[in-house]
Amino acid sequence: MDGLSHRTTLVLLHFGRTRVALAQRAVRSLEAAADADFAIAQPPVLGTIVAGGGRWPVYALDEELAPLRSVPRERRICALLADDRTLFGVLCDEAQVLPREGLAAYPLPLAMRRTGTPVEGVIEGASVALLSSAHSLALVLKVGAAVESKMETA
Amino acid sequence: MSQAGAWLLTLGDHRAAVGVREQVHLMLDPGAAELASTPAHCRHVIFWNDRCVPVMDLAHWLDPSTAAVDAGPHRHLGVYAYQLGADMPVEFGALWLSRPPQRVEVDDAAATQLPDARWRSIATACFADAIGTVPILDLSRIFSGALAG
Repeated sequence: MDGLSHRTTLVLLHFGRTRVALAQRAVRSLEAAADADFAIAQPPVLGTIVAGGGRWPVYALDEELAPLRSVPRERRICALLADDRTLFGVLCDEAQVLPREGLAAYPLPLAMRRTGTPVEGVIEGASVALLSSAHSLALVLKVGAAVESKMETA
Repeated sequence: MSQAGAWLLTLGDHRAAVGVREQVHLMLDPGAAELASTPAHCRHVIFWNDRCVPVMDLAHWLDPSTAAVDAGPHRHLGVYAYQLGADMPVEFGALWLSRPPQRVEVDDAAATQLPDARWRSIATACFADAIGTVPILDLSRIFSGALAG
C-alpha cells in the first residue's frame, strides 16, 4: 500500500500512547522543542521554530491526533515536517527512525475512516503504529490556513 | 416453507444474526490493537491471515451511551466474510461479541419487521424467536464505511 517500498525508512513519532509513522522524506529534521519560541501563540499555532533557513509554525497533537491548544510539556522534540507547500513543526514525545523492511503495512479499513482523519494506514511490526503523511497532518492542523493568514498579515 | 442456518450473535444487550456461511472464524480471547482517530464504535483491528481486519462494536453504535469495548479479557469476536458487490473480492470484518455465537435454524415463517430505523440501516431482514426479534445483519453495509462518519 501507499507506495512505500521496502527500502523506505520510516520515522515514528510518539504522541502519548499514539505512534504515527511517516516516510522519512516527510521529516526534514528533528529539533529540540526547547528551541521553539512559544511566546506568541495563536492556536492551533502554538509557536514558531527557526530551522532549515526559515521560521515555521509549531503545532501539537493529542493522542487522538486532534490539534492541541496549549503546549504539552512532555513533548520534548519538534519534528519539522515538509508537505508540498511548506514546512511546519509538530511537537512529539519521542522520535525513532526505523527501516520499513519487516513491517507489514495495510490501508486503514473503510469502516474506520472518519472524515478528516489523518490516518492513512496501519503498520504492524513488533507493535502497531498508524501510518500518515505530512500532507494529512497539515490538513488536520490547518497548516495552509495559518501560512495564508501569516502571508496576508505580512 | 424453508429453513436456513444462521449464527445468533449477542452484541451487548442486543441480538442479531448472520448467515451460517458468513462467519469464518471465532476468537475466544482475541488480542486486538486499538487505533487512535477512529470512530468510537470501531476502535480496534486484528491482524488475521495477513490482513488488517476492523473490529466493530455494534452494541456501542446502536446505543452510544453504553461503554465501548476496551478489548479487555472475557470478550470474544467473530470474523465475517462479505462482498461489497457481486464481482468484488471477499473482504473480512469482525464483530465484538458478548458470548460465543449460537447456531440456529430460521424458518421463513418467522420473518418479521425490523425493529427501528437504526436497525434498518444495518440489517437486511429480521426474524422472531421465543425471546424477541433478531435482525439479520447487512455485513457489507456495516463494513463499507457507511457508519464511519
